[in-house]
Amino acid sequence: MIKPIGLRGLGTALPERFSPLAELPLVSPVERLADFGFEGAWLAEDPAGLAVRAGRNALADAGISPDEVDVLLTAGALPQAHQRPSTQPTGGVLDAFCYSASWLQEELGLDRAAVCGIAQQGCAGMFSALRTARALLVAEPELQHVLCVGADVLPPGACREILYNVISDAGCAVVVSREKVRQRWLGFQQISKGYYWDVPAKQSEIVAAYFPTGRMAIAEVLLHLDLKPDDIDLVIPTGVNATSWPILLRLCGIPEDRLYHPRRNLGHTIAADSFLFLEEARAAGCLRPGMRVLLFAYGFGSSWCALMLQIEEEQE
Amino acid sequence: MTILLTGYTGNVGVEIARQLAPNRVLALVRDTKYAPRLEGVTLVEGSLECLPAGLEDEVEIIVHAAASVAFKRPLEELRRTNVEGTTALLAFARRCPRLRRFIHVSTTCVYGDRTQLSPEAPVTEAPNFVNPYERSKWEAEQCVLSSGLPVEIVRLAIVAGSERDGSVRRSGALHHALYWLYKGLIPMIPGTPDARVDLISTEFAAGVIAATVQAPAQAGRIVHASAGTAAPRLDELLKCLGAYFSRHHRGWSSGAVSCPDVVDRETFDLFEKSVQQSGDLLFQRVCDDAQSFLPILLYPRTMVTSLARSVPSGDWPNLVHRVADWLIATDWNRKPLSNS
Repeated sequence: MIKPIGLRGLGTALPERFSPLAELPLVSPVERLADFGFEGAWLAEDPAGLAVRAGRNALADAGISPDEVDVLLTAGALPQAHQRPSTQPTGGVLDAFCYSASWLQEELGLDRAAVCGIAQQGCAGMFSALRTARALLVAEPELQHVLCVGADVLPPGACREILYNVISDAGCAVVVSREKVRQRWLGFQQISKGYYWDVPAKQSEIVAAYFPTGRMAIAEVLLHLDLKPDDIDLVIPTGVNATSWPILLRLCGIPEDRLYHPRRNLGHTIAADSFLFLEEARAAGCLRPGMRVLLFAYGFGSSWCALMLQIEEEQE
Repeated sequence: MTILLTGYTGNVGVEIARQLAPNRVLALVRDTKYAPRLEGVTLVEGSLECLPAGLEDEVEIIVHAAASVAFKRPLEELRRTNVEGTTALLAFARRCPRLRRFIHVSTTCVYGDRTQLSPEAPVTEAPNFVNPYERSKWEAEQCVLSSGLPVEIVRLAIVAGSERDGSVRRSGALHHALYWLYKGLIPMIPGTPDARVDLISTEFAAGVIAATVQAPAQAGRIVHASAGTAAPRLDELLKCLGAYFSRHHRGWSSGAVSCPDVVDRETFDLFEKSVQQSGDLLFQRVCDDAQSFLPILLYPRTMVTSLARSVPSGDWPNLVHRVADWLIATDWNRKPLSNS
């Protein structure tokens, strides 16, 4: 019997500092963003610390040691997330070759792992990392565990509002394995539209494309799995504008009571939202064996990603 | 026959005059300097608020096609043109000793939110209206029908443009909606996929009015200038437009821009609310323009047609393609059509 591939361990990391809306550099009035469900943002100085904490938490949650990890995939939406400052900078081009993924491998002690970075996926970076991890496990039977880590921190003083979303800093990590999985991988669909590559120039078009293309990605993953919208037991949202989720669910024909309502207000943490909320839902006892769970994310570029998981029995 | 025509400079006016031209047409215009010239048409300076004196003895038929079609303007403002203007013209008509007929050009939208089969009959009880324009035109019909004059009404469906060359004299709510659609800025449309979108050409609209003029007078008659069951369904229309736009717009041809989802009212309302909350000015404009036209699609109906069936009309895909051609070539009437 082929063992199911899926998510075995989750880890997340939030910064220590939370700033309310009134203290953040924003574009829209505070009241308007509050209407969209935002309270403030979590702020960090450096993504590396978040990545390390999230990675360690995921390994602990999966119950594996660092030297059991075969592949490390790091996802970052921003270019600076893929760089680590040199300890002895030369001021020359060599400084640019100091990669955060390699640093993370060293920091976490993933001595056996092959390392790769996933970039240019915006907020859908972790979804692409998971997809790649799963594909590696399918393609290479000798691999057992792939650790995916995503962490993004906006530059100091940067505007914290992007297209009506308040952006928090955070890190997340997922161990994708072929044994003892907690959430079995059912299916994945990604739709990428390079037409929207120029984000500042195409902001309005992107907003307009968000719903129909999101609906399409979800419909396609359901079609692929021969499932109906009603077969989805739970939808894990991201932290984007809360008013958008009921609209997306209605477009997809998914009953609105299937939407998970997060207990914590985290803002939109770029890549980490879905996993912060999945972790929270698990801790709250909302994930029961057999449930089909949909995760959806949009990333600049643009990519729309829909991931279907099935909750497995916990194994010793 | 001597016909006084109002609304000559409107979307359908010139074509009405052209088709009535075997008669003597007096076209009422605010300023003769800016009005197009047409053989057989005499331009008469004036307006509904200031009707010219001295014509009363000549006029035998009045075709009243002038109206404000600013769908979402306040009702009071729309009433000034559409109701009070009509009342003024009816008063003028009473002073015309040779008047045989008063033909009032109305809209199929007087049915408001009523669906199903709509007869060529008075709408005696006010329905719920989608926008103030509909109400003002319904009120105008009530004035016309209760005037005691030999009145007839021609209700026009959505006039898309010319089936000959696609030209659109004045962009209306439909054309604004097409603009945002082409630009990939309408993510969803309220309605049902099988709702009929009653598009007609300028020539057909004018043809039905001309046919009414030519037909024996029948006081109280109501005629629908509608495509009836030949009108495209919303999903057919969107598919046709999507295929057409794909030939002209990279976003459409790559599949990046896709046809909007057709959604129920509640979903569209949620989207609109979200746009309002965001304060996004561009999207608010899109929604404002969409609100002028799209809610009509929530109330699909098939208009009964009688006289209109004798008027030749082209097929709707040809009309849609020609109008879209024109709109794209002129950047929605913002620049002159290039000779090349």
